[in-house]
Amino acid sequence: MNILDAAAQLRANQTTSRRLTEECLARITEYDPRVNAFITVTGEHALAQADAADRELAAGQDRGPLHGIPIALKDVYATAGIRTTVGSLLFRDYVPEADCAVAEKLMAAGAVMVGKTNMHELAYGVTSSNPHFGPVRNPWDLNCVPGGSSGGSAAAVAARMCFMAMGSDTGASIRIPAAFCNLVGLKPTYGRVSRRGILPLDFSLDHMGPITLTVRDAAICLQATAGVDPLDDTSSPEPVDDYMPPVKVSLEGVRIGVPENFYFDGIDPAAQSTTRQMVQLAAGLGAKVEVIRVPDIMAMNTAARVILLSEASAAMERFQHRRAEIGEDVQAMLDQGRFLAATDYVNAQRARRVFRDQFLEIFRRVDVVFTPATPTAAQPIGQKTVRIGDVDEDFRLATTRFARAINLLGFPALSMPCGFDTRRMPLGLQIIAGPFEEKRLLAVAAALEDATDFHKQTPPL
Amino acid sequence: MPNWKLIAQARGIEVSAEEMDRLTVVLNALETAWAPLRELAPHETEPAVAYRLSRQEPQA
Repeated sequence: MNILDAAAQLRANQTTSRRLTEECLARITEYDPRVNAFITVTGEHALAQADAADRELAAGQDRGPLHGIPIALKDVYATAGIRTTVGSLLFRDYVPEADCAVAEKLMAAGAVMVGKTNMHELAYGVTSSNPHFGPVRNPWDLNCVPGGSSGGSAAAVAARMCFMAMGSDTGASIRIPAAFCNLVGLKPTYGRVSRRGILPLDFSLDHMGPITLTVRDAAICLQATAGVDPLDDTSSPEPVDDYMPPVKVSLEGVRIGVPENFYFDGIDPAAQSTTRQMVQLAAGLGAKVEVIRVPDIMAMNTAARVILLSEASAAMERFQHRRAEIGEDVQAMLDQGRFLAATDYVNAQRARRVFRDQFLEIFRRVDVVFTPATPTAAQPIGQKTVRIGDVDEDFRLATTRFARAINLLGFPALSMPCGFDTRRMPLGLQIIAGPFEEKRLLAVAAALEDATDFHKQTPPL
Repeated sequence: MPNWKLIAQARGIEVSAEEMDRLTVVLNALETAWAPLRELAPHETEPAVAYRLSRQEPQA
């Protein structure tokens, strides 16, 4: 059951928030010992929130579609009075005094928080194999990673331990786990959702967004969390749209760009074929498909890495005297960033404007761009390389290859289910739109979702 | 390629010899990819970092 269905049942008195919450907590009890999606489960807190939601709904006080819905937050979101570890020993005892902006908004919308999800340490990696809190396991194959860094959020939603979980995306950390776990993961435009109260990994590349079962659920979550925050300098005053796609979405006349370069090179044949099938489906639904050439994505990825390494190392420099408490892979990247020159950082931020202008030119000709979200599906836990064709690639660099550049742009993008590989591991379609075009992005995705049933497939737990 | 070991010494980056060897491989690869991009942006292009000011309300 998704958020939209649960919200309808709540209003038809067919269920209660307490029942929904108890069912989620029961699934956490049953499955989380194997999946390890949560660092902290807030059962009593959640049941108290659920009872309050039931009382309010019974009294006719309706806060909207998230009212009474069990959700989870990645453990990078500050929550008042509830431990927020950032998946790190450095913050193992950190109990914030105040909620972050997103938590404030979700609680104001009546959501019920069942817990804080496990993640890649400091949100700095793509496996969510956390050395301190244990590896998150992919509900589709417990031997595989769920992707990261928001792996616990995706695993929790895939295992139906909550109806949605917030993630953060600095170099594809929402879209990768969504793709690997057969979910929808939305990275909104930079500045669309406030970053206040979220431990920064990378000031200029961090994006906050939901991981959900369906596109319309993602729209509900964006609606609840979007908007200007005067306390976040990077927050945008751009007006918030009505993001919910209509019941029947038409793709008639929508211009879809499909790259002829880069995105279909060096990928698993299944990732290629599933993406192309979604392009054909869109065309069959009336969309106009245009072949486009994208700028040098590897150059964009390189600039994004220079920025990420520099900003993350700057943010974490104060903890270098405690490096023994930081996992090996994360510490290696923190070390790399300390070697880069300030001039390289500034020039990467200057190059960013050049790439943005090149992509804005593309979005004058098309409304959205379709690409695979990742070159392969999820790989086994502990595997540091991935074989694609005859080439062994670094798993982190390969997995972020198609999505990292979009963080550099700051444009909105999502991953949605589009099929499975030969091991029956999920694959994702990435859809990219122009700045603040989330409404259009979600409408296109909803049209595809309505015409397929990939999102209805459940993991074999 | 930059002499990463000297840079480490100059900046007080304390890593083991084994870690330094691993870092050198990664940093060389990044340098190879990044070097052609250093001068990509036209001279007048400003960096895309956020710093905004607004008028402060006078205190009551």
